Amino acid sequence: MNSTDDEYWNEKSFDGFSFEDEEKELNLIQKIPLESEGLQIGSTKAKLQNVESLDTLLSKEILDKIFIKQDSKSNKINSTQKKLKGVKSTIESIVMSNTYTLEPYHSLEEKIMLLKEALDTEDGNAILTVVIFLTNTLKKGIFQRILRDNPIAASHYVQYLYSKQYIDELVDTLEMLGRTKDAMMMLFKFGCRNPQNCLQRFNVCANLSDEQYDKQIISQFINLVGKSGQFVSVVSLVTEKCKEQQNVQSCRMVANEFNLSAKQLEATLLMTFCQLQNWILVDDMLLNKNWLGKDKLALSLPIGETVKLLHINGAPSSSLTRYIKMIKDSDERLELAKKFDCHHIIIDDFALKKDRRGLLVYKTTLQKQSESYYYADVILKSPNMKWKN
Amino acid sequence: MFDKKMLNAFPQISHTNLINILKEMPGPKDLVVEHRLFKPLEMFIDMKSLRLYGVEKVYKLQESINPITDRLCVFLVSSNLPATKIICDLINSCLSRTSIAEDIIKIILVPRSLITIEKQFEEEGVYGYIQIFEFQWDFIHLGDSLLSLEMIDFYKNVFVEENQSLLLPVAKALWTAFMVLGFPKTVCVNGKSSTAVHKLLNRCFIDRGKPSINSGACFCILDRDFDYASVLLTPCTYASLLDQVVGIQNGIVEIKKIDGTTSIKNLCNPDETYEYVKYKQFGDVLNYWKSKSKELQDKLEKSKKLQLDEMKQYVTQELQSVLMSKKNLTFHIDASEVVSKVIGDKFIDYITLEKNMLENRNRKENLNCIEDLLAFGKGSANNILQLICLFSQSQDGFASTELNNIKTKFLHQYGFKYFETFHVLEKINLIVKHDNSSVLNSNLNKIISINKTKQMMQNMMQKLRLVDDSEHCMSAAFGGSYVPAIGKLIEIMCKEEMPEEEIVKLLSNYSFQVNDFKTGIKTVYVMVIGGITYAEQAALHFLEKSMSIKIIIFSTNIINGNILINSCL
Repeated sequence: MNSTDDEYWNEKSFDGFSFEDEEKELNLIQKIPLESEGLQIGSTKAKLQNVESLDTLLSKEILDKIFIKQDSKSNKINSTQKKLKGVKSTIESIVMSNTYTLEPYHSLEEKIMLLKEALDTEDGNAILTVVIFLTNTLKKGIFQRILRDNPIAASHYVQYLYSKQYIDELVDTLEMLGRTKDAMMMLFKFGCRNPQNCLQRFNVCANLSDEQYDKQIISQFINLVGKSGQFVSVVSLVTEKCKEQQNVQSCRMVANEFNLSAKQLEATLLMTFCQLQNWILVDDMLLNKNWLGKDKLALSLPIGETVKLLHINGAPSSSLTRYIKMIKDSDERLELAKKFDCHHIIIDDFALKKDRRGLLVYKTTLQKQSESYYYADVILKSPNMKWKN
Repeated sequence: MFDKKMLNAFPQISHTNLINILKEMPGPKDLVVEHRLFKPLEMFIDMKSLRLYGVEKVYKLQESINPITDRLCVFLVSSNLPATKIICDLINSCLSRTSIAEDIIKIILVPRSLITIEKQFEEEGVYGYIQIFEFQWDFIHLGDSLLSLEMIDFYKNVFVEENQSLLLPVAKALWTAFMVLGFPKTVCVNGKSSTAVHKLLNRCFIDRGKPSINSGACFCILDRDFDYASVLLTPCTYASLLDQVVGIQNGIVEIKKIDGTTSIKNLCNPDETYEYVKYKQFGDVLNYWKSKSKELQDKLEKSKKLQLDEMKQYVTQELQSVLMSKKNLTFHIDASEVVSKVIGDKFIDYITLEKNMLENRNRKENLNCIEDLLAFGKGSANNILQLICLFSQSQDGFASTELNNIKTKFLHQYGFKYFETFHVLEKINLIVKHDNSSVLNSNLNKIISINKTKQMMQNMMQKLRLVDDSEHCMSAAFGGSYVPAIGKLIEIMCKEEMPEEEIVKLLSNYSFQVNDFKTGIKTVYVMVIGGITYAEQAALHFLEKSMSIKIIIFSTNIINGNILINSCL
């Protein structure tokens, strides 16, 4: 800090700006006169008593020159009112983009007046101008206390440090302001931007965070970066694994490590298999044999969207039919069957409802001599059917 | 009463202000302009007038080309450190080779000079070689009654980073606007930044002069956070969807066509097709293209059968406009195609989910639905974040476990880098988390403010009937599912259905500070600090028509869901 200790002590004697944690320092001031007792002031006075006075030794003219009145360096003579006027017009100049100088404001009282006045204008540039002046002219402890007392000033300073990319100072300031989470997030952000030493930063983050959830996320991230060497997402890591190994089980293992949700795992695998046009793997994934050896659907994703995805990607209609057949809800099953032209399922539904007329009408919409056409025929001619119409 | 031709004053004032600065630098000069300033500059100045004041060459500001020679060199850049750093580097690289003549480097900072920038010039050792000027343009007219300062990054600066440096330029622009239009007697202020701007505006009135007073008019200035739903919802009108999906900057749209070529159009230029469709529902617009194409086709066909004398008349009088129409129509059809392609099949999914969220129903199912969209990759990270924010806004925020749950899934899907984004969204209350443990930590302030946000949103939606009023003319902006809060308040103020005191009471219930409220308002000047959406503008347009009042919209910038989320990244 630029200010000398003397100035600092002088300023301490001002009223109106006492701070609690300054009490110890104030005690020191009181001690100073005690220590000066060691000087023998009394004897000096005695020496002067027996000599001719200055008036007789020197002319008034010369004496006047010697005792020329000095301008007081301390600003104490100015009344508070006068100072405020000066402060006001200085801040005014900053706001109006006129020339100004903050150099003459040495006392802490004036510096704080400057800040209050700048804050009152609501102009961010004026606020920051004063804050930068304060950080250049006050010792750290005092500056930080001022920031703690003035959150708006603090946020301008924080934004300034951020724009200049003074990371360490920024993080320190945020911690000093009690904004530990902001500090942690800032480190995290910078870590993401500079992959070289990011792991070190992320470890600091994990230590800084006081929420279990945050710690868990950061450690997952550290794990992921360690595994892939880059900032991919968990989902893209699984996708890569999936393309590499084409094996559902090994992908499950990676996903489990990060507690990837069932839905996300399924969707990721499905989309990758679609890309690879590997329908056998889709079967592997979707169909679970129960203990009777019968297939059942093992899926957390909505089945409609899933079938749609497979359809768009050109999955064979026999597969689609198989999956749709396994839907328990008959309305949903029929709706999807209609949507994706799974004629067998629709024909079965007519049979289930014993709706011969309906089936006859439907048959006319089918392509003649097609497989479904024959299937409808077989059902219609089946002697075992008991039609209701 | 408001006279539309007064709006023509703004570009002329901007023009003259810039010219006046150039006049202070007599002689031939080169102008170096930061890329992103070109488009807004074009709204009020052209090469011809620049030439008139000595500008010989115009360069784009870039590191690779050093424009500094031995003659006057004027840099025109926005006040951001990366841009001014380039200037410092250019000057220093010049100095390393040769000396720079005195007084030849002038820097015009838009919208103002900042201490950080002056400090940078000082630190880089170039302060002695430069002279700094300040220039800010006034409101830019983006069609109908929409006026924007087109301040890029305004929302990020003021709302996310809490930097108040841009508030003074906003106040100055408003001062100019009211000197031109007269100042309304009634003033309603809402929000932290608006209060600050209002204070700065009053300061301008004292320092620079007072405008005439407009009775029967109202000035309504509010912060963007007053109604986030209007930003987060999928808009439904042509212009708003075009902005949401493709982006309209300074009235200009740039589309990348399917064949890889790009096509650019300034929507502020006369275009009857756009005039007709801009407030129409996007779905209806698609049908309109068919009939319009046919109509044009017929016109062109007809011209083939003309006699020679008719032909002459046709070529001189009609052909030009028919060809122009054809060109415009082609552009809009291409643009619609791009929009359809991007939002296509997810449009219904999103609209349905958003409606459910607004109605504050099926909490669990809605979260489930977001998870499905996320898993299937339906929509970008940005789209999903908008849904998460909308959920928080309309369904009373998140319980801690709910939020952690969806957050983890999001981070797994799109990458952990968004961890910090969630923190920012929580900080600015776009996502609200009810944390039971914080009660024990006696963080009383925080709780109070959360409860306030919670109450505000719910309260507002229910009491003002923002949801569930598909008959209301303004809800068309959101396909019938939402009435923008700003529009609803203006309607209440102007409708004279309630006694004066009650309107004032209602406004103060929503934290408005009201000065001199009188009924009989015929003109409303509304200013949104942090940006207005095209959907809100459409809604206000509908309101204006249905009530036969005049609503002039001022804004710091145009915003949409994408810009909002991008500001938090």
